[in-house]
Amino acid sequence: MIGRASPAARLVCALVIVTALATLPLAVPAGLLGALVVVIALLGSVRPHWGVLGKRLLPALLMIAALVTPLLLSGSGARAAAVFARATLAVLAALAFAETLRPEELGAALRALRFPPALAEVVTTLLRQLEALGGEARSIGLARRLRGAHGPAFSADAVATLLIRAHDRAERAQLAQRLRGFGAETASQKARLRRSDGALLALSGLAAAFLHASARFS
Amino acid sequence: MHLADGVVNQVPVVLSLNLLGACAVGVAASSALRQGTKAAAWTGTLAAFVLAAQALNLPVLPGASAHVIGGGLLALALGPARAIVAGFAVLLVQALLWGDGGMTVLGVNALNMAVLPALSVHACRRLFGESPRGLALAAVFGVVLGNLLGACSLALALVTGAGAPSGITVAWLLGVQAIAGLAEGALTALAVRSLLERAPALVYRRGRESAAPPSLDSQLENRPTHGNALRFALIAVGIVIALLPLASASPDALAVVLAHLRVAR
Repeated sequence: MIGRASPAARLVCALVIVTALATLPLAVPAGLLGALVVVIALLGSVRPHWGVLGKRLLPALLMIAALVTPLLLSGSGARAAAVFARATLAVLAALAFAETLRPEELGAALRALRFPPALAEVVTTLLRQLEALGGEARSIGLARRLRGAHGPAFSADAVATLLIRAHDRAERAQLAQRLRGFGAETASQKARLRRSDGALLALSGLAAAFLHASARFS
Repeated sequence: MHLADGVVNQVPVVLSLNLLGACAVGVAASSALRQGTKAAAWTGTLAAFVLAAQALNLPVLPGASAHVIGGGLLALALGPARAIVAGFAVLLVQALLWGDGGMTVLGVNALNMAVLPALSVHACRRLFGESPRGLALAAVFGVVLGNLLGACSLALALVTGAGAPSGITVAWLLGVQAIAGLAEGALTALAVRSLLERAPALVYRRGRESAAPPSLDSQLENRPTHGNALRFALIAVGIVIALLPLASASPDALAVVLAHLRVAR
């Protein structure tokens, strides 16, 4: 069901579920249990690639651990554990939704949700440029090695070269897209909210309500 | 320095910091759109570079690592408005596609890692001037100042919103970010100097646009921009009002800290 929804609907659902998880009261264990049920159901529905999920989860867990370290150092172990559990469940839900969203859909979904066009355009270019930067970096590194360069692989000069080359490529790609009639408007039309997204949006609203009800009325 | 979802417990703290960050990004996006879409390719390229650079965590102190924030490079190459938009785009991609940094605290992260660093570097730039030496000084001092302000803002969120003890939190975050800021400032100064030597038109100058092909600038130039900022402000206020009933019934963060202190005594 999630995979068939429009990218804009998937983003809205992700925001609803993650917000519900992140605002759960910490003092009620039933709330965290309810959150666990919702996250397991979500992962079961999305069926993510577990290797990719694990790779993305690890740095997030380290980041959460660093943030709760001051709580742990001050002796609030139980509170630190509850914060860690809640944040981990929220990250798992966010990663589950992220699995369903292709990078090229994100800019269009942001435009469809009426984010500022300047921001949506930068996000689209950024995602396109990530791969280009990697390719340029590899070719600059190879060229340096072939010329017998020593020292660190990436100096400030190499960074400047990388940025200038990648910028040239981005400009050419952008111009070619516009000349072929491919604009941001065309992409955002496919990402817009559809009538068939209603069921998924209602389901995510119900899941959020269940989470808070299980925490507050237990 | 990314704050994750669910770490800060106090909804009013999250909402007010989110609102502050969202308003700053909204104003910056309006300003960037007013300047035209000429530099979208350059802005996206730099944002992609910062996103890749942020993936590298380097050890700073025993038991603590840090990554570059990139606000200095963005602010010096793009100007403050586009730097904030680019920084926010990086955070958005990290939160929505990689689960790095929270969706519900996106505004807080934008404030700490995009708005404060970009404005700090821009303020230092105005102080030290536009000469290559002035830009290098602005890079070093601006990045350190931006990191420290971002760390202070994060510490404020953790202390008031998560019950973290203020002493350890402030010392830990400021110490790590000051060292990371010095290293990042020096690298930024070198990169900007190299860019100035090789492609000076790509570095932002006040009163002049960054380099860009004028042919790309036809579609969005004449769009109304004030409406977007107003719409964003109204949506942000609506979210605040809608989420206020969800405010936690748990004791205030400060009360928790004070209770712990009393128990310890």
